[in-house]
Amino acid sequence: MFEALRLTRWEWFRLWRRTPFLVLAALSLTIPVLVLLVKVTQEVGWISAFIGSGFIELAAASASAVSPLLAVVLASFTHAADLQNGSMRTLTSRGAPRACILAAKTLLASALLLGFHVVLLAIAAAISAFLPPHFQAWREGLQAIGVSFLASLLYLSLGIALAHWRQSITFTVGVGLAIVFAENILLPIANTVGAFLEWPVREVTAWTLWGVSQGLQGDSELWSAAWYIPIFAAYIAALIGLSLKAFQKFDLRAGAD
Amino acid sequence: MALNWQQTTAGAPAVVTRELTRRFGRFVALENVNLEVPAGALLGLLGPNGSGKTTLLSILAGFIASTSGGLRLLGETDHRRALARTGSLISKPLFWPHLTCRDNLRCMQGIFSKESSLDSVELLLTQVGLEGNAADRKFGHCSTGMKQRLGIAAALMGNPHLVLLDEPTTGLDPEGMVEIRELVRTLGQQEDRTIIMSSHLLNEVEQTCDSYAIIYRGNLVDQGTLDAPSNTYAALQLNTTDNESAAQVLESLGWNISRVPRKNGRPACLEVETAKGGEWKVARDLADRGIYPSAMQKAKTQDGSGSLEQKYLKAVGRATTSSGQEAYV
Repeated sequence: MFEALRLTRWEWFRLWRRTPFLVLAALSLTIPVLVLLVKVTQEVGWISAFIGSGFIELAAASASAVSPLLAVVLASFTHAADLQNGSMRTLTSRGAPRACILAAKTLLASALLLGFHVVLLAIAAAISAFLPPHFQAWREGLQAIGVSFLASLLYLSLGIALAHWRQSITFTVGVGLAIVFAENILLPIANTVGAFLEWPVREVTAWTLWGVSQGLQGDSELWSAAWYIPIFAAYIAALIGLSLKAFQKFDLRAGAD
Repeated sequence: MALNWQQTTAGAPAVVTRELTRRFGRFVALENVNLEVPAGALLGLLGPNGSGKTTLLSILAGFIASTSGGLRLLGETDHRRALARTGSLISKPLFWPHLTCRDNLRCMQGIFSKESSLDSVELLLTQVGLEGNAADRKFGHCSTGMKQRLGIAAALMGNPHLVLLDEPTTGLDPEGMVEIRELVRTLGQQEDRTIIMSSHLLNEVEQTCDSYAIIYRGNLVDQGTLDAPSNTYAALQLNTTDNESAAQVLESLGWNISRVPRKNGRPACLEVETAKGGEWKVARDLADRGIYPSAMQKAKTQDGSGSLEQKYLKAVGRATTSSGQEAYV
């Protein structure tokens, strides 16, 4: 564990110097902050009748929309980039355990996702401080932010598995984002249509990453949120386990030819 | 295959491979390679492009796995532990393009050695000729030669006991090639350090290394030591004013000679085995007895004690003959 933490430091050393990472970080925060600012204009001005939830909850909703995308792209930055460019060979050249390297990269990406949620929470809280308290539902808001972070870990694990499967940035980002979009757009539609036609679509989609995220938020009609916790843990364990297996088994040949 | 490792860590060969085989699908990149490199050796790994040199070094460096067989580095049964004392530059330097050369080394030092000292980074940069502005250039913007130098610096980081270098002078200008060969030679002279350097340049290996191994079509076809230059034998063909008398004189003085008959329009001559630079001694011995050479030229020796080029051609020729394939040379 200590070794993984030590390696995480050098992962961060490399990552924060990457311009695309800084652009991604800025973009990821800009969208939710813009949403919050729109709400502020509503709050102080003209259309307060539309306001139903507090800032924290709105921040959580924005985060849960952005964080799966952020998670997949972070997986490509931290894992796929080193695998595709061949710099993973440099990392492993002195016998550092591959499990440690994987753990270090995953720790960094998870910490950044947590940081993203914490920053959003801080911004939302700061805005709330200047507004009437009746708009806040702190407990629900914090819970929603926490669930959004957990859900983002699912997508991060998916991105990591994709990265180690094909050792390609394009594959990781392309397939990862395709899954995120497909799940977030198609599955709700499929659920609605399925319910209308009495097809068992809901039972199937409950097992997708999107379904598990919804379940953790307590939005599933099938099981309670508590039931989704072991499913969530099993998904993370399976995806990271597969990544480790692939990392230990596959040759590090990319970038060297 | 069950391996029976006889050696203990102390005094063990730096590298031992047993029946090492690697297949990529149906293609056999390495086949039953049994290589043994003594500790402290500076071994030149020779072979044409695609012969399996890089595959062998990649397996030793832990980047790819063998299909079968085993290996032992630095007397360690745990490959990962041995890699902690092994520096490598395989195929091409692969670092982080957005970091400067200095930051790349700092990062690697932090990862490899648990402590990051700027002094040792600067020392390495100087050692490979990347001091000054070059060290502050981003790796992605570096020339091939600069990248190669950084790769060598990374391989030398932490004073490793085993260094694996895959064609380290590739992409360097002639001056750089000489510098790197000199650096490799100097490193090889340091006690307890073993260097394996692959190359397809025979003269590079001859100038730099003290032993060689030849890989051809995935097989280790020859391995041996390279004599010091003063002891390297070459053959000398000569014609004199009186070849028969010259032959008798040289034989009486202990020279190893053979009479080459006239063939394909070439005149008959004498062939004398001599150390490199010994041609003048032959000429002087003859002149002392009133016999003067009219023509002298270097010739290929007929046995295995010749130059590395001859050893190489012979080994490769033998390999192609035994496999029933068309001769490579």
